[in-house]
Formats: sequence, C-alpha cells, structure tokens
Amino acid sequence: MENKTCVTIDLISYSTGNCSDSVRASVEGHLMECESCRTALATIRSEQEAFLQMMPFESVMESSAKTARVIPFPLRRAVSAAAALFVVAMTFMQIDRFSPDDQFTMKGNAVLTIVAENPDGSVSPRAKPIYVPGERIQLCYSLPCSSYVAAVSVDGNGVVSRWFPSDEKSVQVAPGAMIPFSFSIRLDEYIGIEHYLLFVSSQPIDFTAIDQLAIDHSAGKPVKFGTTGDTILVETIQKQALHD
Amino acid sequence: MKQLEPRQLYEMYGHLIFSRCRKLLGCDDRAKDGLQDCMLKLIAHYPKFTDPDHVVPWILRVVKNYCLNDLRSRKKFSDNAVLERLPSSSSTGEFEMQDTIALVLSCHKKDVQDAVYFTYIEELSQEEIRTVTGQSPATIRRNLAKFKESLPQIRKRLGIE
Ligand SMILES: [Zn+2]
Repeated sequence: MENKTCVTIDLISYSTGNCSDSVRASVEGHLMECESCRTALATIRSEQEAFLQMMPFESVMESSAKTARVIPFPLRRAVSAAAALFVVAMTFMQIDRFSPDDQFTMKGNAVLTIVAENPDGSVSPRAKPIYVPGERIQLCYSLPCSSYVAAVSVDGNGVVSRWFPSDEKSVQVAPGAMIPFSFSIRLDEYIGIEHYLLFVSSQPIDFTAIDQLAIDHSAGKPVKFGTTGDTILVETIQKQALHD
Repeated sequence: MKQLEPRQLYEMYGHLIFSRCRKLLGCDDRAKDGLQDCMLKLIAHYPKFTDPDHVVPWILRVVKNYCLNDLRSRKKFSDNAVLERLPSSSSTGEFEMQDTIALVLSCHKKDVQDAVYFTYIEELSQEEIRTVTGQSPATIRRNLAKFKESLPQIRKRLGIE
C-alpha cells in the first residue's frame, strides 16, 4: 500500500467489520480510488475465510482443553484455553449462558485447571505456572459426568492441605466445564514446587488414605485409587520469591 | 460499544493474530499457542475498549509482546537454533525477515525495538506507529537511526553478516 493515504490499521479494522463509522467512511472512500488497498482487502478476506475453515473457533479454543494433561514443570504450556475462555467470558457474560448445552461443555476427560488473576484484573490460566506468595488462585474442574471429588495440595516438603470438601464427608458434584470451586486459595510463603490434585471417583472417596495417596502420586509413585475410570488429576505450580 | 462474545471476537480477530504469530514464530503449533494466548487476553480486555478503532492497535502490541517473549524464552536470540526456525524466505524489503526479527530481539531499548518492529515487520506508516506506540514521527526516525547505527555490531554478534 504505497499510496500516501493508505492506512493499514484502518483497513484491517474495516476488514473485521468492527470499526467506527468514520473509519468505515474513510476506508470506503479510499477503496474507490486505491487499487492496491482493494487487492489487500480481498487478500485479507480470503485469508480470513481460509483461516476460519482451517482453524475454526472450536478447534483452537477447545482443543487444548481436551488434551490438557500434566506436563512436568517447566515444560507445561498454557492449560485449557477453552476452559480459561469460559472463566474469562463469565466475568462479563450473563451467567445464565452457563448451561450444559453450551458450546464449551466438556465432552472428554476430567480436567483440573488453575486460574489466577492477572495484573490487568482478568482471570485466566497462566501461560507459565509461576506464582509468588500472596497471590490468589482458583481451582476449577471440568467433569464429563457426576463424580465424587476431593481437592488437595502437596508442597515440596510433603505438606498436604485439603481444600475440598471442607470435612471428610465425600461430596458428589455435577458435571460441567470449568466449574470454579467456591473458594480461592491465597498462596502461602512456601517457595518451590506445589502440586494441586483433584481426586475424581464414581464412588464416595475414603479420606483415611488420601493424604498419603496425594504425596505418593505427586512424587510420581504408582498409586491405587478407586476403580476403573477413577482418576487423580495434578496441576503443578512453581512458587518463586517476588524478586527472584 | 457493543460487547462481543468470544466466538465473534475470534472470527473477527483470530486471523489477524494467527497470521502475525505465524510470520514471527515460523511454526504453526507455536502460532496456535500464540493465538490462544492473545485471544484470551483480547476476550478479557475487550469490555474495557471504548472505541472499536483501538482494538487492532492493541492487538498488534499484544501480539508483538507475545511473539518476542516466546522467541526469547526458547533460547537466547543469539542461538542459531532459534534463527533456523524462523521463516527465511520472506523479506521485509530492507532486511531478511529472519535477520530483522533477530535484530529486533537483540534491541534492548523498548522504544527502538517498537520502532523497528512496527516499521519493518508490520510495515506501518509513521502515523500508524504513533497510534500503536505513542511515538512521534521524529522519535521513530531517531529510533530507526539508532538501530541502523548499531546494525553492523549486532549482525556481527549474531553471526549473520
Ligand atoms: Zn490504498
């Protein structure tokens, strides 16, 4: 776009259909007399169409939710983008959109996701699971069917904290995508690796053995938990001093 | 301003984000990570926009930050492994794309980096760069001049003479 009045940003804004009336008018006026911008716009539009066919919303914003799994720190990438999308979206979308038939509903495996507040006030999973003491995190679960769940954490010293349920009475929760637990966790002063575990079972959970299971499982030892289909999900975070 | 749902935002801006990420990161998988990351930021930030014309400049800044951080986090920019993974066929006119990105990464001054990035990689006009970065045309010219002065040294250091 060599023409002096060609404005790339305006043309892009115009191509999205989301621009002010003044930009729309000026771009449309300009397009009448600028061949190179007409060509550029046609290219943007055809590329955009090809992009949406090749990478539709679902495939990008949902695919990582289906493959979310425990990857050893520090190689872990962003968790469940679709899930995050949901939480973020909920902060400004009507809550009544949150129905099991919604496009974000999990169809695959159970997933545990940790979200945290960003400096700009938004809430999403961290691209890198690095936190500082005092930060607040929230655990969210996605379940394909009703299950008994228990959430605990284990730090590098083997200290176990139980987060859910609040007592030892096993609680069954309904299926859904990215359901936040009703509490958030203020991270303590411990520096190092911390594992957050979600026990998911079709049967009520026996709490007598759960601390040891959590310690062994987060240490990578083989553990026996529940019956077929029951699972223990782990998300690992790294806590660093503020000025590391 | 009308609020938009995540899907609408994706359909409007997904391609813009992805095409930039792919150009810079040179790999579809990494570009997809970038797309997810930047989309989440956009969805979170969107309610704060007061003018639809501010969205594209904001995206260009966010994508730039994401891509440069990603390239940096892979390995040091001076590592040839990074350079090998960048697209080499494309050219920014004055420099090879690969060189330009490496050079941009090697700039430690954010103002200079912004001026170079938006001039050679996004190919924006100085007025547009002002919209995106707040730098005046005179500042942009000064920053580009600084960059060109340091070019021989940087190229030598990177072994891409
Ligand atoms: Zn034009």
